[in-house]
Amino acid sequence: MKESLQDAGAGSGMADGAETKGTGGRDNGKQPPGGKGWFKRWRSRLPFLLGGLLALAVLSFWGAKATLAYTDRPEYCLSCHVMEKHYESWFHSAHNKVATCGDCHVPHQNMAAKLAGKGVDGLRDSYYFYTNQVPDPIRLSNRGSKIVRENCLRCHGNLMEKIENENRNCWECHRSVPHGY
Amino acid sequence: MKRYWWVWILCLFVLAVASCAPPKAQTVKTVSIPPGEVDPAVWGKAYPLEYDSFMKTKEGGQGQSKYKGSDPKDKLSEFPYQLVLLDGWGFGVEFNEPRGHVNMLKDQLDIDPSRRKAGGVCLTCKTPYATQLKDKMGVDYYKLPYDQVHAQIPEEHADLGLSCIDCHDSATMDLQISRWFLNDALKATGKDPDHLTRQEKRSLVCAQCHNTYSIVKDQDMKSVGIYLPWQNSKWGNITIENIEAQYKTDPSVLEWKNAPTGIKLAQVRHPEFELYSNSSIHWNSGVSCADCHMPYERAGSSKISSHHVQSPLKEDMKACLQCHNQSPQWLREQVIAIQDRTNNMATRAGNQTAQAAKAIELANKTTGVDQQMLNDAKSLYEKAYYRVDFVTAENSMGFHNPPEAMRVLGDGLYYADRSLAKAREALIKAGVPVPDKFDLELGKYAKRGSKGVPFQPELNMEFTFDGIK
Repeated sequence: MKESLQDAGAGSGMADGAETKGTGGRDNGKQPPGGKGWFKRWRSRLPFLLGGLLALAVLSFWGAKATLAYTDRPEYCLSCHVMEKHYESWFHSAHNKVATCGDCHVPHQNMAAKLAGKGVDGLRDSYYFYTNQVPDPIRLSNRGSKIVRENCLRCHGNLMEKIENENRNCWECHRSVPHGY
Repeated sequence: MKRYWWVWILCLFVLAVASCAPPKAQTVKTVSIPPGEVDPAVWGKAYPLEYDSFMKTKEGGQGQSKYKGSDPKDKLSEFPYQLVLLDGWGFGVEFNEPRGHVNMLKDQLDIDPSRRKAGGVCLTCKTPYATQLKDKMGVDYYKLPYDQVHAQIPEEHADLGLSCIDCHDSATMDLQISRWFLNDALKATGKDPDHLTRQEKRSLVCAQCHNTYSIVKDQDMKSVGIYLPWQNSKWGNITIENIEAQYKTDPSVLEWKNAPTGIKLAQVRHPEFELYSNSSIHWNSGVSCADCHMPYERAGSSKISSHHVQSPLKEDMKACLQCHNQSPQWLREQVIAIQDRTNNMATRAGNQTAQAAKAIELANKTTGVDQQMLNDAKSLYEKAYYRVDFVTAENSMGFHNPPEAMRVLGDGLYYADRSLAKAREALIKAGVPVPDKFDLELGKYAKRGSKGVPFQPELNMEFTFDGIK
């Protein structure tokens, strides 16, 4: 063992560069785990590597799920105090027990759309919040209207089967539903 | 690229996650409606819920309405000044509150025949065959006697009123305009009939018939056409002034002569769309006719537009409660308050116009009366008449556009006052004693027309806040 270590040590000290020819300046003794014989050398470290990867995968999935769940909660939206009015009015509305903020304001067609939607919303809202440009009253944007309309239909679509959607916003008539005003 | 070959896999994965969604549920079509099918029962096989709801228009009933409702009532007995104003043609003989849409042709067949004198043109808004008949018969459709044109309708549909095909396309159920003159009128106001939003069509299919129309007459007073006098108007601003200007421009639409005054007049009929769309608060808020009169209702597991077209006051103000969250009683009180005030104004303006008519009638019979003054009185009477007619012929008692209705009636009262003053001046100048108030001589109208329609003073619905008429 010592011998091989010494060999490795000796190899790193060479100066004339004979063994580094054709390696792009890299030291042959300090080769990355490519090339011949890498499996033999790394076999002992493989269990740790795979275990580490597994742990990483579990953590990231659970972590992502946990993060998603955390950011889905209405109280998370409430962490920006400008949302207090909306939180309260939702809390006292008919949708309190059946829908949270994200159920209406985040796209739910598929996971990619959901993540993209949350991302855009988060970035946009953070920008407006931290640059002190939050309007009063806060009104739904065109993009937001489309998302909410899709979500109305997600739950109430059965009832609306026979109605042509007409590109009208549901809350044009159902005015007390969204936030009670 | 070799190094990042796995990027493609990642992209494909994201794409797959993004595009996977279950297929949308489609309703199964068990019946198809033949194109051009007129019979609502055939459409009803494909859309039974809407058909059942539509057939409810047979029911009638006053409901919660104070002024209107779906029961036949004699409007001339309700507002006796109309007996004087409409004296001279069919409208002054029998003029009833109509029944539901299913009965609309039957109502026309039941009424005194003097109302159908204009000819086949009267069928335009009563039978779904109107457009077909007009295309087939050309000018004869308008001109020939009503019964002759009516006989052209297939026998099984001889008393078929409103039908699905009047508003809907049979293949797609899209809303479509079936009355030709509305397309022309829309173009005149600068609106393109081929590019209408669904929400606009939800008002316009009603506007096909709930509008004021003018029948074009030839030299022999035979009907040769029909159009809507919107020529000087714009979308959202169709006013009585513009309509009146059109009457001045096109004298062929002066259809009748008022007997007491002897003036040749045009007639404003049920201008619901004109009044409503003239920047009323609900029109400006984007509310269509169907939103109030055909509100969505739950039928089984789905929502459909109620096809039981009726007063929104029925069903306990359900149509209003969609947007207004006060109690039904509170909402009804608001409606009645508006209607009472419109009625007050209409009672004043209508009676004053009738007074002017009586004064002119007396002046007509007076020899040596100042003709210039009398003619002035008559021009002013005309202006008063059209304004009173505009609001009293309209079927909401002002509710469709309260400020405009009040404004028009106010103008009507103004012109009636001036007409009366001019006529009295002429009479006094000619030395005729004039009473403080002219007797409307309502006894003359005790029995009218071939059916002997009676005058029933007990049905009087006139109203003034201080009780003085």
